[in-house]
Amino acid sequence: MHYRFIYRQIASSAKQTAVFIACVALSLVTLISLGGFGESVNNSLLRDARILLAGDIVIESRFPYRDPLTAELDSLEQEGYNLANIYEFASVVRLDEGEETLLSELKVVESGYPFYGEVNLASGRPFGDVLQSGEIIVAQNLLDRLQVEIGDQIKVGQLTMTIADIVISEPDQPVDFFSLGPRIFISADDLEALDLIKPGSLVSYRTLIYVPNESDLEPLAERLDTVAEVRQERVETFRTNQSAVQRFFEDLLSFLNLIGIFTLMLAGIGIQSSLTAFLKERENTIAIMRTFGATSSFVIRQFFAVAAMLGLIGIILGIILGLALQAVFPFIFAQFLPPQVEFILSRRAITEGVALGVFVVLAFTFLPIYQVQELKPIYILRKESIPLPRGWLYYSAIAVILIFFAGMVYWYLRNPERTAYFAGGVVGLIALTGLLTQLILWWLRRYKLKPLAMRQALRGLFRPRNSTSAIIITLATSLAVLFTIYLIERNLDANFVAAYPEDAPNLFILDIQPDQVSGVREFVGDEEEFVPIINGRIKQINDLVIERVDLAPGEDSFDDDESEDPNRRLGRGFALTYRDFVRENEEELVAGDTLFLHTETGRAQVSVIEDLQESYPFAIGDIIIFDIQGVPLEAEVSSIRRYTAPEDGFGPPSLEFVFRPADLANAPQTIITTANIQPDQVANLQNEMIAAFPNLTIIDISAAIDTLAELVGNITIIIRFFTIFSIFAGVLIIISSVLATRFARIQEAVYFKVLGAKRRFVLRVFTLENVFIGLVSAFLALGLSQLAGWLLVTRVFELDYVPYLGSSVLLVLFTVGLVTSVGLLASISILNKKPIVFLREQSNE
Amino acid sequence: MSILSTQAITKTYTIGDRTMNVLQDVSIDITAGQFVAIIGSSGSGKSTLLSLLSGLDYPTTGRILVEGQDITELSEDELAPLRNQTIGFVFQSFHLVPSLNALENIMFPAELQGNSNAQQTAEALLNRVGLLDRADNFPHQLSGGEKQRVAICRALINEPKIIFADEPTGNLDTQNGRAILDLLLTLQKERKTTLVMVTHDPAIAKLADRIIELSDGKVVPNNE
Repeated sequence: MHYRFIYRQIASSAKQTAVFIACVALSLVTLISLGGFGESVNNSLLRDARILLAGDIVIESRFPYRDPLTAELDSLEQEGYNLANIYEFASVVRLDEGEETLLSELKVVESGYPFYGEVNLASGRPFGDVLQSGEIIVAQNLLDRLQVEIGDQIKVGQLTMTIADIVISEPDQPVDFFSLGPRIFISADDLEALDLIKPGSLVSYRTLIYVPNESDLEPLAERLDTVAEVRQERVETFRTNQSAVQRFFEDLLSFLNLIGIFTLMLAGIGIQSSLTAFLKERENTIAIMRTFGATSSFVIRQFFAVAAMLGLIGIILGIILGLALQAVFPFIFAQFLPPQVEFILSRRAITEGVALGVFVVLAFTFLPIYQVQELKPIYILRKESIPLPRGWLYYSAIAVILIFFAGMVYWYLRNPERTAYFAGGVVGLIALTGLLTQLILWWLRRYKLKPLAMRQALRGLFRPRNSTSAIIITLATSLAVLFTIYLIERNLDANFVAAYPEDAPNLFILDIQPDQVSGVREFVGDEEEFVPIINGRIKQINDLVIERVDLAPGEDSFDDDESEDPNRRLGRGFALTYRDFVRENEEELVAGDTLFLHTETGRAQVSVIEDLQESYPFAIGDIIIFDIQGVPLEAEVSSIRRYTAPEDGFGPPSLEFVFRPADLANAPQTIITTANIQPDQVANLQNEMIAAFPNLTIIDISAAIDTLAELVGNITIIIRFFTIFSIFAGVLIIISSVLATRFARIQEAVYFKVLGAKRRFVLRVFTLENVFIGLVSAFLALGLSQLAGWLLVTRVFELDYVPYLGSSVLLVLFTVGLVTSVGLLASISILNKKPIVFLREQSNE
Repeated sequence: MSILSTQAITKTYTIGDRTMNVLQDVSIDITAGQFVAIIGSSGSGKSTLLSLLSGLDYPTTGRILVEGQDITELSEDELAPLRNQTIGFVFQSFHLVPSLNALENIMFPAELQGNSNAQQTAEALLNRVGLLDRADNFPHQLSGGEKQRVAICRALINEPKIIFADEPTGNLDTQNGRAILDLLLTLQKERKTTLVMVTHDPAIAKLADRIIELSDGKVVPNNE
């Protein structure tokens, strides 16, 4: 090793070495900051599956448990197992004296809850000691919104309860991203007295079971599963359960990690590109070394040592910056993430980051340095172009890089199918961008522009060693990812938030009991429709017996079910309703003259929605046997209805099966309605209605929409933050490309000047060259992101798509501005080069 | 009539703490339409003199006049019209723009001037030097002799009054060198252009109307 030689090489190429170091540092910063972010979220929210469940086994149902399960749970209790029941539902609470009301999320828990983890209280006292009968523990925002404090009393259902403490966090719901209102913990001793749970009330019933001996876990779960009502009562262990929160954060972190891998790839390209530029400047040196007997391996060793030294500086810089970024995370993200997320300085992230960073540096420096071995002195002395070797080692190195990145993707996703999708998606995106880039460049190469400066600028794109394609592909793909996220965010906002019409109902009133209808009508007016909802299933259609079908593991609903199997499509539960009129402007009859037959057939009569004919060819006269909460009901199809209202209507829901009032009026039911109330009167109305009917759940849609908008905005900010790194990588690639083609650019600038061109002309040529690169990158990014955005919004979210042309124009301007300014800044020293200096250097060589 | 003259020019380079006087007190007058050869041994300052005469470099002291205009202190941009219209260059290393083909290289100075007939003129010149079929070739696709013929066409396209040639045959074999010289001289005579050529070849110098010999940065009086 020739240390002085290594030092001289580093010292004599400040710009190239700076870009190389910046690329290495960028990859480290990306890895360390993402790793630290992920670990902070994991540590705070997702570490222990038992804590996330708060027990070993959980049973969940939207209905009161059926007898077999209740009996089994009783016998478990007798066997000595600890059980804790939890009831969660929304209810409007109000001040004991005053007019303020607030929709809140009640969590009624039995003693023992939680078996794992802790409910942290502001006072620091144990949860079990504080939660006594007659007292409640509330979230801070309830105090803020109702202007009350600890010790004050509020009305919950039929009780007046005292606020005993403030809840900071709860183990089984680490994040309340989308809650209808602040949390209130209530002791199960008060459940009955609250008088809030009525037939048909929307309540989540849960039972936690503590299993001291882990080997009993599976048998016990199996035992419960056999008695549980399929598709209604779910039994999960901490091993099988994955909460929505867990899934959400795991998906978010996976997504961020994928963006990180993408950035790492770009940084790798930057490392390779800047090292190529560095080695290009060293060609003469290498040729002279070879002339005086240096072997290939000696040359390669020296330059690997140079790369290692620079890489080390980059890694140290990356660690410092990565740690600095981790340290400021609390300031950046605190307002976007749940309060219990504690940002830690992650040592694991540093170790992993350094290991992966070293690999990336080695892998991407190998290719340019490997190619140096073929650099024979004669090529330099004769100024011939140097052939680039493409031996098996070269291809092996590329294969190792690809396998490494695929491995990283798999490491983060832990799912071969998703890995294949992502890897395929990235390769597809890059391949598509690459193909389009080549097509555009091919066309541009043949396109004859009249103005001289433009023509020269176009020619400049095809300068030997120019990284035009690499710059365009890098910028277009990273900007496409960023802009797609932006478009989706804006579209979600437009569809859910901005699109909510002013005349649409802004209050949803749920859990109305039949005897409360006339009372509630006095508040909301005669025009509002009250929709009774009765849960039921189809048992048989004519001779076809319909079996109940379970949701497959991981499925949350049957919404996306496209199965051909009628059992699969008709075996789910339906919300049934009754009324005696066809809704004006919203539906029409496509079979039958009237909704119901005028004659009595001795059976119930039901009108079926046309859409269901995709699952079964329903016709008038068909006999359907329903199971309504255990009671069979035989009904004859009396008409077929078609929806005519737009699907995104905001009125009360249109349900598939409409019965005559006489057929279902006595079934257990809940009633819902909507109301359009002046925003300034919402609070008063809520208060008065809750005073009269404490069991009602009133949802203020505009508040819910605000919460959703905030959630979408917060996630977008986090994603945007980490995606910006990929833009930095793109900028570094532009700089390294300018450096790599520095000689050719100086040569052109000098020749132009010698032939009589002014500095302004040269400046114009270089500017236009960058404008071309910026324009091609911007339009490719725009096209790809509009396509991806449209596909995702219309196919995945099934919403109307808005292309946001104003923002699209800004994207183009931003990209062109970025590329042009970075490209020109890197070219200033080239513009200032005096022709004679260059010509003399050339003739001296 | 003098088209190019210098008044006591000197050129000094400073490298580190060393000062080198490359040219000392050079005063010459060149008459329009002449072929002038500048000769001298290696390091005598002949290429430096050419770069000063052509306005590519600035003298340390003294003045340079082209067609009576003092160009000594003109900026790069002020020199641009002069380089484009009054002067043509032919270099030993050709210095063709690599990203432009033969025709485009020749057209370039005319296009800078805004000449709408640039292409026709360039094609006529290419035809004149027997390279019309090479019009679409890029520099790396041309031989040394072909590159120099393209460079000569480029130097001539704006019909400059003076052509500066720095060892134009230096990178060519004897046969190609001879052909290039013949071409250059023929075109110079045809167009009555002033040709100022640096050469170390006495045979070429003999063909010149006038020889300026440099030695250690000074004009040798005997040959003037």
